[in-house]
Amino acid sequence: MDSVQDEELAARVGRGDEAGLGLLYDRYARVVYSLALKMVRNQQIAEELTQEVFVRVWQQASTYSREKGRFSNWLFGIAHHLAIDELRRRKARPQQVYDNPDAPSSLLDVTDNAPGPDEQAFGGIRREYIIEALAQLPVPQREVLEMSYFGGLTQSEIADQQGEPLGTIKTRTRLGLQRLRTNLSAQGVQSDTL
Amino acid sequence: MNHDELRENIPAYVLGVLDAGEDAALRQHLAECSDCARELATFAEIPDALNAAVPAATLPAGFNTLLLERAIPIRALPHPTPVRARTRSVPTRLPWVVAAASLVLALGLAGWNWQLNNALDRQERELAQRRSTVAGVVDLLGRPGVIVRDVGVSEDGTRTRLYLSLEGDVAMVVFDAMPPPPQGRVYQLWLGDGGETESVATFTPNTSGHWFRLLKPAGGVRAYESVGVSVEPEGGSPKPTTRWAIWAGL
Repeated sequence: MDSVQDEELAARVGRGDEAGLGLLYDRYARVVYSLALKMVRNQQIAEELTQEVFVRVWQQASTYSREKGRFSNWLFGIAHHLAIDELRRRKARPQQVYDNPDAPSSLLDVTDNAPGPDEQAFGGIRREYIIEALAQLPVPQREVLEMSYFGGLTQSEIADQQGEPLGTIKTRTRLGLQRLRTNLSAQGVQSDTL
Repeated sequence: MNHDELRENIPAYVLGVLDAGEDAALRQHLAECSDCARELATFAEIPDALNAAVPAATLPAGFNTLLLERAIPIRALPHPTPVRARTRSVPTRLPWVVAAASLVLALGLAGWNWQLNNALDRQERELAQRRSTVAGVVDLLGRPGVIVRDVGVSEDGTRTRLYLSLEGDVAMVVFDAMPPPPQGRVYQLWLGDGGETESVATFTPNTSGHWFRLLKPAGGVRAYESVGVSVEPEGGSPKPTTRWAIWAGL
């Protein structure tokens, strides 16, 4: 139901409907900001990235269609892509001082009762189901997934950091994804419920 | 890359960490290889699951206003409503005083109409220029892989961001929280190439300290090494006469 509404709103935004953008913003700004903050670990840059995401929604909504998948996938794809760009630019710059360098490096380091992102944005799926599915992964597999997705590190960079052969990291990543998919399924989280 | 090497990259593709070349190669392969496309589809829920696992953060106060200030003007430029001057017929059998008054009125209306037309022409020229700029901005921001570089905050508190096209032909510089220039002075934007500088524009930021400029030099921005801002007398200077208020490498 929500995804249908999202697509309708996206179509309205594509026709220049500011109110439609406002509704999408109300629904997704917080979760986009949360993802950006988790990745770049700097409040000001996370704010800017979030704004940039919705500027792009405003500009590019007319290019979105149902064939491209759910609107949330499209939206978070933009957010993730922008955050990865920011992380890669940082690698080419001198080290900066971040707002919260002591922020939890793993999703599992956050207390169990930490609020999840707005559940409406994820089809009502509760965060703890996802955390449980992640927690059941072997640590090395979970680490490579988090370092890749949230840290923006390439597999070669992870291999260098961990002192492991590249092939090992690639295998861990594939196995981690496969096992996470299985764990999610066991938690009742399917692609059509996210 | 052969099939196996491309297939090996599917997990990194799912996690969004392939470089641009690998990403393009795999996308092309996925369009041709149903086996790999099927495998990719099995991981469809993973990114959303990871997104959903992120603990919620609280949006900073005033965040909505900032967004709307940036997003809405880009596509919602106002369209001017054309104003038509009315014409009046003057009755032929009027006393000359009334006729003279009518003539004065007509001349006044003509003058007002002329001023109005001039204002409209100017407005239309400005609007056309703004539309061209906005089209350029939309083109730049809509390109894949556009690089957004946060240059940081300069001594005077100005925050500078650069948007660079991958192709290196166009860029945009955006200033926020920029203080007004000293009385009788303006800011002047320059492109630098080695020891040479080329003036781009003089400007004064708006009351919010915001100003931006699309940069589309004939040889592309790749022909330049830096962008800088100096404070100059009104009308600008042929060369920078003060030290850089803002400077950033391109």
